[in-house]
Formats: sequence, structure tokens, C-alpha cells
Amino acid sequence: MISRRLIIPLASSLVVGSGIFLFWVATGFASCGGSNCFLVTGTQEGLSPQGQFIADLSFRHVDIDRGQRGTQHIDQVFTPKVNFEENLIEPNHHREVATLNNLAQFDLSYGVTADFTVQLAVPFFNQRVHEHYDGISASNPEGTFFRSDGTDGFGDVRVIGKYNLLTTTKHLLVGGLGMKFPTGEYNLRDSFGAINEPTLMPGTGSLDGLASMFYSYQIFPHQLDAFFSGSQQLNTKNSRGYLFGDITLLNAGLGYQILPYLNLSGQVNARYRPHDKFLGQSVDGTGGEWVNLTPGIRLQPNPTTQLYAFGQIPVYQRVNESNLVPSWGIIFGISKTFGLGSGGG
Amino acid sequence: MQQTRLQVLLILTGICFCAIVWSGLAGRPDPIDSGQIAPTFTLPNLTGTKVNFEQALGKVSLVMFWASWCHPCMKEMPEVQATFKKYKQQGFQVLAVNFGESNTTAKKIVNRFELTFPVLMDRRGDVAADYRVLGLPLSFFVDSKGVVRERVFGKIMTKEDLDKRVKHYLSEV
Repeated sequence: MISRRLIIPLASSLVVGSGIFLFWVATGFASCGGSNCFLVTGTQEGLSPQGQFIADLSFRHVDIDRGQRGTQHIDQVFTPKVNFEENLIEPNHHREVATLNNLAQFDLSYGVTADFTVQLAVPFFNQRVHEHYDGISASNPEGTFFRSDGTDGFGDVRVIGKYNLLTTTKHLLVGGLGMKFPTGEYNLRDSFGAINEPTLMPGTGSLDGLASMFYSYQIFPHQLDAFFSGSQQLNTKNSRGYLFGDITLLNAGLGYQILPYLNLSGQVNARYRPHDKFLGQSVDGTGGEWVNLTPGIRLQPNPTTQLYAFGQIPVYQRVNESNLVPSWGIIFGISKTFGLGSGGG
Repeated sequence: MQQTRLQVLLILTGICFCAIVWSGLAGRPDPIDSGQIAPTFTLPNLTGTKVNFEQALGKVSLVMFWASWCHPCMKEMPEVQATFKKYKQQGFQVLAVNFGESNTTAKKIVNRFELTFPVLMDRRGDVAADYRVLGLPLSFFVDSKGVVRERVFGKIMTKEDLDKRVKHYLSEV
């Protein structure tokens, strides 16, 4: 528990102390509950001004420690093991306790033209702390508690091109298309020497496609705005024959500029994901629907810098078969614009 | 199957971007510019009285969009006030349209710069949308017939700049 408590302050120091900056991710939900916050940060969805960089450094933490069967709470969650050595799925292999997700990510976007921005998302530290009971048998019905089978490492890099489809005084519509590259490790071993659960790996090992849309409407310009966004990640099979379910994200929210340097927001974030598949067979406990309520705060100490923090509160969660679901999540970060001109306000 | 899906997505991605870029579809409406009829509007001033743009017809008008967070706008305010004071009697009118702020905020600016020209409150930005405002400062010189003669965007106008323009447009009346 000590390391669990230390992880946020340590990561905070990393993020704040480095003085660099941030972005967004929506990595996979797993049979072991790997997940990260999915939301609209407000610093990452729009376009960068032409010739300018927006750098963004963020840290996300999600505690996945509540057992569910479908939408109902259960005390004990058994999940299968994907046995890559023997190419089979072992049902009810181990009992889940918790998966603690930590993700530090650096994002950089560049305004190639006034209407076209390229964004690079680098999840440079993707950690999953996995607590579970394994080795369950007739002689050891409770199994043995393990906390050593988590993983950490560099995740999968995304490159996204965003295009201005509509910009008027009150409307902004941005479309994005991109790819997720298999830069993260996906063959790490567990404490028994076997290939670990794919959902615990820092990377998926697959080359995936991304499509997104972001719309913002200024109800009261520079004071109250509404936004809607959606994205779809189309996943492909990795070299071990594992296919993560596609990810559909939908977000809607309001942002209110309460003071010139302070913005408060509230949003609803929904995610849908079908079962993962291994060699054509559905993996039990993967996929489901998750809806979160996400209050947030953004501080702008100067025109080129933003600090932000969001909390995620689950309001509806349904898992396929049974699995753990998040009890809460948090994201905070800093974003900085480089080379801001002295033009208009 | 999965590789096929990815190939389809990649091809679609390429086609979409090429189509958008080549067709110049980027969604920025053409700005209101010289030669066009200035969009008319009715907005409340700081006391709540409705002011109709058509009341300004017959005069040379400067329709300027501003906000307190726009630093160039703040630099321009005293210059505009001085020009207004100088040419008011000769038929020069300023309609300073505040972009999206509260009366309290606008009043502070009025008091700070001792503005005497009408400040109009475009709380929801609808008039700004009609004038296709995408950034501030943005001003339009409108002649006595309601035709936009010049659009000035992203530039702080000095007293000399204003003087030259106002003199020129007044001479045409």
C-alpha cells in the first residue's frame, strides 16, 4: 500500500517538476482492468495556431478495484488467463483484487497551417500495478496473493492529423484521423515466466487507426461554451493473435470562465468497447460500457500556460461477464504554447 | 480481416485529407470586407437602451469589436476616443461592440478610458458572428450609405491612422 500511496506524489513531482508539458489517451480496458481516464482536457482537442507548438504533459491515475458482473456489484471477480504459450484461454484462472493505472504522457502538436495541426502523443510511462490471487486449487482455495505481476514501460505512440472543418465566431469543428503505432512492449513476462496478460502490457502490439471529431459552441463568447466530441479507434490483431476491442468514446460538456485565469468545467464521458478476441475467440471479462462524470478546473497564469486537473466519477458501468471497474480517476497536467505572436486577443 | 479494415481506414484517411485540402473546404467563412453592405443590428447599450445600426446611416461609422481581455483593443481605446471627440461634430460615429462580456466589465473599461461613444453589448456574440469575427481587434469603417469601406484586423490603429482614414471618408460624404 505504501508504493500505491506514493505513486501520485511521485508522478506529480515528475510532471510539475519537469516543467515540460502534456496530452490525451484512451488505452485499452483489460481482463485485468487496464484503463486510463478518457475525457476532453480542453488543451488538446483544438488546433494549434500556424507555426506554433503546444506542448502538454499530463499524469493520469485510475483505481480499478470494484467487482462487477454486468452492472451488479460482486465481491469476487474471477477472470481468464490468455495462455500465449499454449494458444488457449484458461477461464476463471485467477481472482482479481485491483489494478492501479498510472500514465504519464507528453503531447506535442504543431500548427502546420492555420487549418491543419499534427499531434504526437507519447505515453512515456505506462504502469499497471496488478493485485490478484493466483494458484487457486483444492488444497489452496483462496490462492496466493500477488502484487508482482504488473508492468510498466513506454506505451504506444499516436500520430494524429487534425483539420479545421468549420471555424466561425461561435462554432469550431475539428476532424482528426491518425494511427497508433506498436511502440510499447507487449511481450513482458509475469512472475511465473509466462507472457503476461495483454491488458496489463504498456503497449498492445498492434497498428491501430483513429478517427475523431470535436465540436465546440460558444454560448457566451469567452465565458460559457459547450462541447461535444467523439472518437473511434479501430484495432488490429497483434503478432500474438490478440485483438483488442475497438474503442468508441463520446464526450459532452460545458466550460465556464469564472475568472480571466480560471475555467471550471463539467463533462460526461462515455466509452464502449466490445470483447477482445484471441485467435478468433472472445475473451471473457473484456469490454463493456463506462460512463463518467468529470468535473474539472483549468488555470491560466499567463496567456501561454495552462494548468489543469480533472476528477472522474463513474456513474454507470457495465462489464461483459465479470470484471473490476474503476472507482475513481484523476488527471492533471500542464500545457504550454510556444512562439505565440503578438497579434490579436 | 483486421488488416483489411486498417487498409480501408488508411485509404479513407488519405482521400479525406486530400479532398479537404484540395477543395479548400477548410471551414472559415469569407470575412466581411470592403464593398459589402455592413450587416445591420440592434444591441443594448450600457443603460439597456436599444441602439439600431441604421441610426448611424448618414454618418461615417467605425464599428469596432472589442473585449477587456484583448490587450491591443485596450491600447486602441484612447486613440479611438480622441478621434471620436475630434470628428464627432463632423459626422463621425463610433459603435464599440463589446464581445461577450458583462455590463460590469464593460463599464470598468468605459470609466477607465472615459469613453463617450456608444458601447454596445453583444453578450452572445451574435452580431460578431454576423460580422464573422474570428479574432480581435477587428474594426470596420462604414460609409454614410452603410457600405463597408475598410476592414482592419489584428492591427492597433494609432491616432494618425484613424485621423487619416476618418478625414478621407468624411471628405466623401
